Amino acid sequence: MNEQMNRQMMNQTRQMNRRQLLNHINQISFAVDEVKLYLDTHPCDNEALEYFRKMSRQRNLALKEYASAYGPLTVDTAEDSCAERWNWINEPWPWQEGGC
Amino acid sequence: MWNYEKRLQYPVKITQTNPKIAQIIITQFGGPDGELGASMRYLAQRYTMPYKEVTGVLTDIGTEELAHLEMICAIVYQLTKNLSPEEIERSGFAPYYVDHTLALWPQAASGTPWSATTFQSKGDPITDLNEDLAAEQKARTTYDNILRLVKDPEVCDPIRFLRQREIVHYQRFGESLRIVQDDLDSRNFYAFNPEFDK
Repeated sequence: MNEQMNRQMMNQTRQMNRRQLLNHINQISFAVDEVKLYLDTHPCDNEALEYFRKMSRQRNLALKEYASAYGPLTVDTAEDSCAERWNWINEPWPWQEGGC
Repeated sequence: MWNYEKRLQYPVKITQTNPKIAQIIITQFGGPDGELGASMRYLAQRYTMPYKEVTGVLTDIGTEELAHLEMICAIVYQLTKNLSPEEIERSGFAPYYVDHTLALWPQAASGTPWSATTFQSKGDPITDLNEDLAAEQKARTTYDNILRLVKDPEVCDPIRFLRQREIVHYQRFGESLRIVQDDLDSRNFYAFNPEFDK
């Protein structure tokens, strides 16, 4: 079930261009940030827990997908960016043009 | 331990420079109710916080404030990018420029340097959480004041996002205060300090 969902999500994100994929990462990361704060004061809310799991899984997949296509956003996905050189410094920083 | 993520929490894409507005917005970097002070406040308070939910809130909001600091710096950077000496003179940016060129430095809109004296870490959960609630509202008012002065939609958009976060954080700190008070003696919340008295 999870495998199938993961594959579906991967296919969806593969059809996005760079800007769309980054927006997608920003949106699901925001959902993760928001529900994480909520869970700090509501640790037993099952609905919120389920939402966190779903969003967190999507976020991790999208980060991997982004790293392999455009370069890593996190050190944990740097390995997925299978390049000959250290891509971390080549892609624009978030405050620069073409970043964020 | 912290890990850097190479993206902004909310995108900042400003195409028109405006050094006048940059000098106002920089107050949310190093001013009395800015993001740097917010982050340092929560991250300082958390070590002695005896309630695990509240330690979580202080850690996660303190971390988010660092992301907000980065957004504010991105806004100021983009508003002052590639300025000519003439533009610097004309816009009143010269006093900042002479000390920092176009680099980012934490100061208030008035030019006062950032200072840890703008916040407290008191070591009493009721006291600290009331400080945190007030801090979120002060930051919200600052963003409201900024929004009255800024007309450029490319600047207003990320500022509105930051303003909304203050309201969400206020909510979480309110819940934190309730968690603390539910645990204390409702006949006298101040009978002892759970961060000090055993």
